[in-house]
Amino acid sequence: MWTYEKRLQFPVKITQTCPKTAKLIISQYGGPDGELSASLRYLSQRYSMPVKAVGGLLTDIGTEELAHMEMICAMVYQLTKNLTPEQVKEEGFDAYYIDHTTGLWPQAASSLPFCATEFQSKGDAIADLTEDLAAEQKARVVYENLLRVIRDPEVREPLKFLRAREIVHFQRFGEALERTKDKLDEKNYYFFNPEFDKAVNGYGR
Amino acid sequence: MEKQEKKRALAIAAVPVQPWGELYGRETAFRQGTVFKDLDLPFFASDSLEEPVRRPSSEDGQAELMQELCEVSFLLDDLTLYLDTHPEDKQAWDIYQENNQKRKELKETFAKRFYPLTRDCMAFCGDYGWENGVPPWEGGCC
Repeated sequence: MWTYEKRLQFPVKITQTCPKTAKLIISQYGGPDGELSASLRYLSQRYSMPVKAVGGLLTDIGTEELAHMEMICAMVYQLTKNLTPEQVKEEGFDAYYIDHTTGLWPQAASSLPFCATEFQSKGDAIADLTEDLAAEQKARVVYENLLRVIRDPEVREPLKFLRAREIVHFQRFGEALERTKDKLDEKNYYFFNPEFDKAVNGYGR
Repeated sequence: MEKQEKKRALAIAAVPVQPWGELYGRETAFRQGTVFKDLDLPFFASDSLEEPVRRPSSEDGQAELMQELCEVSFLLDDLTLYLDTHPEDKQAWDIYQENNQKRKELKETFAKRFYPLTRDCMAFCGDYGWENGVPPWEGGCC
């Protein structure tokens, strides 16, 4: 169960229309390392996690990623508000505009549509948590790539906030992996899959 | 010693568990994206000097109250993840409980004075629905 709270996690108030910037930022909505992908990754992986607290962490981070997706969408929305047909053509927003006008649709900066193949839910705690660590790093890089080329302070502030969250999440997934390892045989972490081979060593019982 | 051995295991990733450390104040934590000073690792191209700190202001106090609610809520967001991996940390739990109470009061005050932010808050101001207030994606927050 989720409850909606009518506010953003961090304020987004952009006064300058800029479809060019919107086309870049939309990658964090529907791109391979975007917030939608992050959220679905964690919220899918949590069900079979053998350590309860790790399932809890995936729920909490997956929920925060939904709030980040909302911030990204708000940014794209505000950057394309009051768009004139001339601006659409001049700033390279025309292809998106033909398909979606100024509606929000999850795609990458490269126009690739959002796709579930961008993330995994492998049913193996070590594999999934290692993917999660990499996912946070990849998202951090996207925010840094955006910060290098975007100058508008009203756009940069929320981007900086979101980048900082990737580092915090990386730290927490690292700690989650340690907690998972604590319950495994330290001489061979790969002796069995605690999400599937439940009869072995009574893991997580 | 045993823990040290585990850390050096081959063929698996290892991240050190964060020890409790210095915390930022509520306002700085919100701006930096974390309450933990040790986890604040800025990128060279995100120099905070170039962007002056903007404090929201409004005649009726709505923007200020929303900002305070966002800051307190964010502190709790960050502490939640810390507690997920450090459930035994008494210090963190105390700060969490204290701010959770504050958040509850701020949400109620906001609902009474302006508009409800959640379904639960609607009862306080006796006003159901989406009609009041600016939608968050329109910049209706902070």
